[in-house]
Amino acid sequence: MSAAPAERVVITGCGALSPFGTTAAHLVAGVASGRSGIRRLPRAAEMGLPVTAAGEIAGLPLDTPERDLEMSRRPIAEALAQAGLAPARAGLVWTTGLDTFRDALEAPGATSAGARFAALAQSFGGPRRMIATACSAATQAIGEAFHLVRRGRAAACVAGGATAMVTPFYLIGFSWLQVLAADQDADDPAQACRPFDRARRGFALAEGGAALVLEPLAAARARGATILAEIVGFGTSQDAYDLNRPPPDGAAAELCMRRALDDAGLVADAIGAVNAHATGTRAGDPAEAAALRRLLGARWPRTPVSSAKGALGHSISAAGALEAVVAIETARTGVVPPTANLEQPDEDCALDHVVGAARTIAPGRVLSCSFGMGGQNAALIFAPPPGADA
Amino acid sequence: MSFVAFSAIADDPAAAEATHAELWRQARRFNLPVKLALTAAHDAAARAHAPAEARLVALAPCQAGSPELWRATHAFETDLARTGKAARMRVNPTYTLHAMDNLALSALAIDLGNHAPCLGLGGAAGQVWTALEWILERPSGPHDETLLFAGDQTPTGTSALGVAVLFRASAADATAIRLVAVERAPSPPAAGTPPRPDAAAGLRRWLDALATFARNERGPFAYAVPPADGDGRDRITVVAEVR
Repeated sequence: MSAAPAERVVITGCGALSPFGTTAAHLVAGVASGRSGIRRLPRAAEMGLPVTAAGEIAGLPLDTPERDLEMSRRPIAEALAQAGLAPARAGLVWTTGLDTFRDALEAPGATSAGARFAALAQSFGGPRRMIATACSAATQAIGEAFHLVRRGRAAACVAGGATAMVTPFYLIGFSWLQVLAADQDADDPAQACRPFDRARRGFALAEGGAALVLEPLAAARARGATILAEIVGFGTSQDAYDLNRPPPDGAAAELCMRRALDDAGLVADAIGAVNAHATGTRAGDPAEAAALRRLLGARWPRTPVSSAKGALGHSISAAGALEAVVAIETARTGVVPPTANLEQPDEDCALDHVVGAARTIAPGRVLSCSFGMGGQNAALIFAPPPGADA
Repeated sequence: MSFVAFSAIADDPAAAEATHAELWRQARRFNLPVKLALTAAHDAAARAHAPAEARLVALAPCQAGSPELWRATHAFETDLARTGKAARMRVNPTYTLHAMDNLALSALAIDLGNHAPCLGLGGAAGQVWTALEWILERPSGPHDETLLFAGDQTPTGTSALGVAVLFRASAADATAIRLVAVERAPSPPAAGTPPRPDAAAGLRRWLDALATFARNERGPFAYAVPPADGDGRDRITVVAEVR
């Protein structure tokens, strides 16, 4: 099969459930505000868990029937409605990550991630692909959908992911892996996750879901669909280093970013802003910063970088999709959101951080990165909607 | 072009441990399907021209991560429901690792020093055929080998299986087997046998059928995927050609 790009691919729909609310608009406004959606969970405190700060979806009550499936269904429905497409005309590339054991009191199998994906995928015409690469999964799902549409293998695709893992089991399990921001006395839970900050001490676990609709530029124009952004590049790599830690030099992270640039036929100078993975861990943030400095070269002090994790927490297999919605808004409007809770950037994380308030630049290409626990890395490049002459 | 260069099966834990002692020592924290998947993958990688450059495609276990993890979470949730307190409960980090569907992919990449583009597909029914489609979609280039591997187990965890297939962009010998296409046609809902998600077993059945055909015939071989190995949605046919 030829590697030549057959189609330009655009985004015509976005949907999201996040700690800021039940729509993509809530997500974008919340992250741009610089506030954090992380809260203390009373039930976690009652159970005596070592971590009680987490990101729960605002507006999706805990007793919602099939709540874990709703985390996928609702953003998918929102995105398809915005795009004006029916699922039968689209493929689905989706992640349902660590929610497999959300309710272990039920029989195994019925609530497995695979069964949940099959239930979601039934109404989609195809292809139907389930991605499982941990924290990079949703970014990879969007990238795989991009390539399917670009190669003409799908007329349109819904891509993204959801996760429902704010559970006692995972709050304890991930704290044992020493990646969560454990509670501290008199701590404000909203400040638990501090990407790139000197005082960072891990991430806040979060839930959520987000979906994008991808289709060929020509088809979107022919339908009269509103084009939100173009997607121009995608790359993946593996750390091949350690199951729990990235290599300190961020070499494989840089590799996936360079592959995304190659895929787009661009050089790093073309990147106007970066949505960083930056989860607020001691090891991960400096590695990513080192990778970005090398990638951006002399332009790194003038290329704004922000992380949404301080505001949203880390929703693992949904994170890349939630952040894609934010990155698309940056590409479209030029508004780069601040990194919530970043007050004193660590010297090891030197970048052109967006601190305190959103910064407005010219609309342009945005690099969005996700790096998975275990070492799978993925990067996407979004661009503003093509001009009428494109 | 994608040719089947080599395939490997690991279904005997004792034999696998005996022949891959160091690998099994390194993978001692992992559950059986991951160990067997890694065993098969190492056997296939040994036949690769450049194992560190091959694309790696992993199929996550279909059986909900692992029965061990399900039992651990079940015990945890039961205790929690009884006591209302989680503070003194322990969660073995190994079980948290088991929840990583990409665990085998990560472990193999580390072993091979592989930084190549990769794909991890989740444990939904029929994703094994999606993996073959993905391989067919890749353009040939510097990464001209792809290693597909899977590890799965029965719902009770009583038996497990690891399977790996090395694909290559060019044929190595005169009796090459070429993967030609994965064809799909919608099938009526509720028709036939419901899928029984087990990516490794489905892959093995295709390889067995392909080997049987290749021993006796030449030419195209259309493998009708049994409904139990399908995705519950399409009638799937895998077309190969034996030269």
